[in-house]
Amino acid sequence: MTKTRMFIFTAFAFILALGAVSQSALAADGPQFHAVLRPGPALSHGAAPDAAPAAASGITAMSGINAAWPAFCGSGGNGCASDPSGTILIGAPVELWSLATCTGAASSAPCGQVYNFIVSNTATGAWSIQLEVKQGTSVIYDTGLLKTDETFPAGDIGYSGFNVAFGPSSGNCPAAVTCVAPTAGPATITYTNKIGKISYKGTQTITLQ
Amino acid sequence: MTKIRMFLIAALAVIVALGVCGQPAQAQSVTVRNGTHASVISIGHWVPNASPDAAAVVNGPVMWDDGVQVPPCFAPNAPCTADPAGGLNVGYPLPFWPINGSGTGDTCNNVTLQACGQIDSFIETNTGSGKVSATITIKQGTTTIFTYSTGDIGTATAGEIVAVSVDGIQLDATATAGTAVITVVTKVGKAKSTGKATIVLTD
Repeated sequence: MTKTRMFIFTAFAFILALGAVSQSALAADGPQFHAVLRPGPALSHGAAPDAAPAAASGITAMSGINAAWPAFCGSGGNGCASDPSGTILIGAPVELWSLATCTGAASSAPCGQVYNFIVSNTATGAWSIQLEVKQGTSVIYDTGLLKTDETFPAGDIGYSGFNVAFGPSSGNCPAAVTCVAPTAGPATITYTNKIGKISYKGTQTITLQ
Repeated sequence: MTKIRMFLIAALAVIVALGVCGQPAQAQSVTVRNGTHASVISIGHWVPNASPDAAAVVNGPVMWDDGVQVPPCFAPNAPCTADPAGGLNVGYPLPFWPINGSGTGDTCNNVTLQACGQIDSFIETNTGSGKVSATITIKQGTTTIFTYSTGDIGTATAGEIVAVSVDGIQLDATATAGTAVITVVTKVGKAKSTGKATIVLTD
């Protein structure tokens, strides 16, 4: 083995180790989330905000973890400048999650990301978010309602997301909730956005196997 | 460095490379009807240590936008070659679709025959494989304001993430301001999967 190859393998192992360590550190601090608002062009090209106060949200479940996602693309885009303006870069949506790597029973290392997108029409105010994952009536992950630092104006797009693991390990549930270990089968993600006094819920199903 | 360590590191590198790179994304046939375009793009996925014990096809999110009409791009395949592996480049998710508006390109109504909007539906195959087709329906209450069947637009194999993308959507003239429900039924071989999403039509 040449010195160059040894260096490459060593560097590669170092990068992997750094990734593993940083993920564990994140989980130990409780729910890790990011939330950001972007001006929404939905109301800027002819559409008047005349619908009933409403919001629509979508959820994407992903297995990859990348701190740069979601990125807003186009000129000056953060991490995806070469992609067209008006687009975003997120993780590919993966609906089948591996129990072997996603259980928090023995380890609280996040195994995936869950994102939510919400566009408000006329709703404004303080923005809070909550991610809950259940199998039947059993809770396997719950962040509780978390207040972001953002105040939602009408017409903006809100992106938020969590790095998650499942099960009873520390950081996977608030103190008032008891999380149980996940089992093979479907799990329902419920994502709540509270804007001002109005709550909006969206759901998505993933399969643990 | 011992031979055992060398072997372990090399094996790890191969495993990660397989997981990250997977197979190249494949864009398959495109159909056209009255300005409505449909395409299917697929890429391999990798669920470590998982046995194929779930449904043959699992439904993913149904996303929507009303502006930039570019097909989903699984990185680092063309044209999003600069993005990291595992990434997905899609249009802003915008669920408010204008009808009868005064701005350029903001009319989804069939009266003026202008198309707007894009729907990207994602599924993940577990054991399912075969020809891919999809039927997209948009309803307000019991009134259908858009329906489109793609026919067979490609094939998928087991262990893939598949994006079905439809753009150039022309809503029926009966569309009114308010909530509309999108239903996407995707078939892979004999397996079927259904996804739903809600948009809001505005005047």
